[in-house]
Amino acid sequence: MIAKYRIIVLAGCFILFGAGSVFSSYNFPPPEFDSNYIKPVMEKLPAGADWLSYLDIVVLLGAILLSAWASLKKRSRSVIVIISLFSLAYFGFYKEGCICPIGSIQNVAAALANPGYYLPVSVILIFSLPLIAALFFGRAYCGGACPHGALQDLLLIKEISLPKGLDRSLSVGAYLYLGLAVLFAVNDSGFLICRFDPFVPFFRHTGPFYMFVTGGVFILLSTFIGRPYCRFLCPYSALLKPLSLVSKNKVTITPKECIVCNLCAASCPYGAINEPAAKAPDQKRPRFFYIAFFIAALLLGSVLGYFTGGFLSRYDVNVKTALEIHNYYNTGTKSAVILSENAKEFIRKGESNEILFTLAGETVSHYKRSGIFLGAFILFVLFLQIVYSLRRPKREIYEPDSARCVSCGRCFRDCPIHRKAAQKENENKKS
Amino acid sequence: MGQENKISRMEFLKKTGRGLSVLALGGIAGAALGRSKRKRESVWQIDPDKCTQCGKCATECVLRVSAVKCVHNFSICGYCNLCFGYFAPGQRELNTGAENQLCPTGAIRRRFVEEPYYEYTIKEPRCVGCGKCVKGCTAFGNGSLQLQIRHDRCKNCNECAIAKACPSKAIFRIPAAKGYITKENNDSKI
Repeated sequence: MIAKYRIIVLAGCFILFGAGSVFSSYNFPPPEFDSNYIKPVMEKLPAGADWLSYLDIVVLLGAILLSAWASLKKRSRSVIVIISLFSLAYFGFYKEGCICPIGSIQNVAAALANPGYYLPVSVILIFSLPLIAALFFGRAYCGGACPHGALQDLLLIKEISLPKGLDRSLSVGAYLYLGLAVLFAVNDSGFLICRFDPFVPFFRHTGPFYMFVTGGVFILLSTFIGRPYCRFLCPYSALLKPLSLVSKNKVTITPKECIVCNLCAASCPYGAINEPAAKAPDQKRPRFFYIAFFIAALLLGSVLGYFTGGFLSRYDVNVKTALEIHNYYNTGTKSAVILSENAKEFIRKGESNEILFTLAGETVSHYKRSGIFLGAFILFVLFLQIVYSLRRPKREIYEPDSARCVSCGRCFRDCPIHRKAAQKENENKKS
Repeated sequence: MGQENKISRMEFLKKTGRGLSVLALGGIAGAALGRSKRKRESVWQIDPDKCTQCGKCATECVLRVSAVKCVHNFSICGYCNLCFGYFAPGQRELNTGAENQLCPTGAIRRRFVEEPYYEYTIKEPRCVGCGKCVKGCTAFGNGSLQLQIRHDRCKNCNECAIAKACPSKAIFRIPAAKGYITKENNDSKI
């Protein structure tokens, strides 16, 4: 009895709200056909299934672990080259570079800043796996699993070594880029890293012109400068560097003890091998010198960041539109103002200017506030960089700098001890 | 003191650093995940009710032939003889002559079904996603022609270039399982 009643109510609802509202709103009611014509169905080609993105994570993890094994245990450049060829083919040309850990920084930053942002678990994993791996195996991700790194690494023909000072100064660029990208991501104004990625248009064989230009420049540069993007711009390297400083396992040039033969010194195209050095005579600088320097850097950074933030907010879509609308209503000759699509759409919709202006004002002040953090962060990095370069620790052997080493394995081949060990292993295998 | 302990100062600092980093990473990942609205995989799609057919879909996509195509939702099509998506304004005759067609690439096929109804199908390889037909159909007809992002073509970029350029903010992420938004079945307004 109740079931019957329910069916009648449901049918009533369907007629009232379902069928009624669907067909009454059309200018030309969809026809009923007398002939035996069958309406085709709108073709909905499906997106890839969820499990496919988890498959990618398994492949990523596998590539990182293999690369770590090849650089730490197996100590073989050729294995690393094979892994990076695979990564280049799979993550680069097959998956076409998206989504990658480098870009995922922005997703995570956006999710932290805006509750309600769409962040799948797979993206969190892609973001954190290489970082966790860096805590245990150094930059194994850069060495074999990153398609960007692999492309540059394989393109290197004849390297020129950059002066140390230039190399260190340029590498601040990565932190700056990281800071800017996070600033834009938390303010919901776009993903800089993805928009200016140099290699993705090559992976996709298509893209805007400016991307090809920047990509071409980086590809040309990487034939004679080792990994220019990784060293001077990659924002992910800015996260990987400090983490691999405290890494549990490190790449060593030689499998046993270093005999300081000097043969490996020139093998690293990335300037990542620290040479033996005597401890510099202690220049007694009072501790407050550093503290004052540190505080001054933070203060200066905050002030600079505040104004930079205000300036950068102009690149936000809402702020841009608000400025245009403001100009439009405050100039006498409206016809002379050429409006962008966004502004035209805004005027066409006839929404209230006040709402747009408040929104834009909020965005600008948010930019200024986050600019303070950006400025302080950049000056903090600069401070650390200077202090780090003043430090002259005693070093008795040649060893890779754990932050800058990308686990490419080039130095192994130049080490006589490594060669001897490898030869012995080969002989053992034969017999 | 360093010699008395089993680990040196450097090693202690490193261990602490590693521990703190693990905690920080875990914290960041956990917080980001906790604040995220949905945790499933997602794809970009166009809300046909917000779309104004400005034509940017054809030009802003990172793919040189855009991933946005016109799709035909037959279930709400009026099968009109005078289709505003098919015929250019001021057409001479209601026939398939090229001079009468609105589509710049001739990607729509018109076929007689029964008096007075005609069927319109999109030849998808030819479509460039300019949305001219969609504009006509939305303005005067039922809006059965609509622009949608084709997931076989879409690279699912981290940041959709068209979404950033879209003046009416009609492009956003939807659950991958859903895939397409049709006009009569648009529950994307949350």
